[in-house]
Amino acid sequence: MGRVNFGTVSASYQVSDALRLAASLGAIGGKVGDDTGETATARAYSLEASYRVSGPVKVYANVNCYNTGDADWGNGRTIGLGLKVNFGGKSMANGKVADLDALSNMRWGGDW
Amino acid sequence: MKTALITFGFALGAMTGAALAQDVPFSGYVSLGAVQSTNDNYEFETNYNPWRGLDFGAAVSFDMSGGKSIDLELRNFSQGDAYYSGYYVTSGQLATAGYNVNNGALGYGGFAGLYVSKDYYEEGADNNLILGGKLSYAMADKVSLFAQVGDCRKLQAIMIWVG
Repeated sequence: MGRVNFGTVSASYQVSDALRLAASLGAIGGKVGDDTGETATARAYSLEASYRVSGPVKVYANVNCYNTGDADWGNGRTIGLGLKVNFGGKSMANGKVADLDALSNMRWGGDW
Repeated sequence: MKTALITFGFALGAMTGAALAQDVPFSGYVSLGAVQSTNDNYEFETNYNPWRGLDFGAAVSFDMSGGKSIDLELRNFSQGDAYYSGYYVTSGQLATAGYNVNNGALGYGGFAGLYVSKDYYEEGADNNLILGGKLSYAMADKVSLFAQVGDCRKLQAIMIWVG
């Protein structure tokens, strides 16, 4: 991966005390071929649901998709399941700095 | 990196215990998840399915006066092809520091960090500098909006350019 720019917008809704839903839309683009200087862009979509099991402990499930719109660079999907523990009493909602999966997939698809 | 992860994990564990026990000027999270991914690639007209891996994340945010806060975030993930186990592996680590200002419902800030990634076919890892800004807005404690823009580029290229 030579250099990429990225941007995401996301919204979340607290359905109940326990359930929270979130959706993200993103774009990634830039130079992906180190030797060739080739460029590519990708769109990324994410959905996530989290459920507070007990106290600060949550379980979450998410699906992340990215699509370059170009057969040369491929498409990717990721599903995830996990456990998250908040501490300090304040939720760091939407704290994910960058979509690592999408960055990685761009790199993986583009460095041949 | 593994040593740093373990050290960071112990520190977060200790802080988690303290934070659960009393009101403290910091907050954060620790998460661990399982990931399965697919990637359609044109080269062999095939679908490398599935990639499986783990996703670890941790962050801590320290409150300061005037609604300002500093946060540290660490993420680690790995994905490997089940069939070509140990060969098709992609892994990445992200470590960032951020500065945030919260003004009522509105929040804004910036972050800088290191994104290290390694693919199966390369010797060594790529070190990338990641820079960005973020904006958030909360409405009636129910809805929150978040946006970020950023730039990720090879650290080696920057060093050559600076040198």
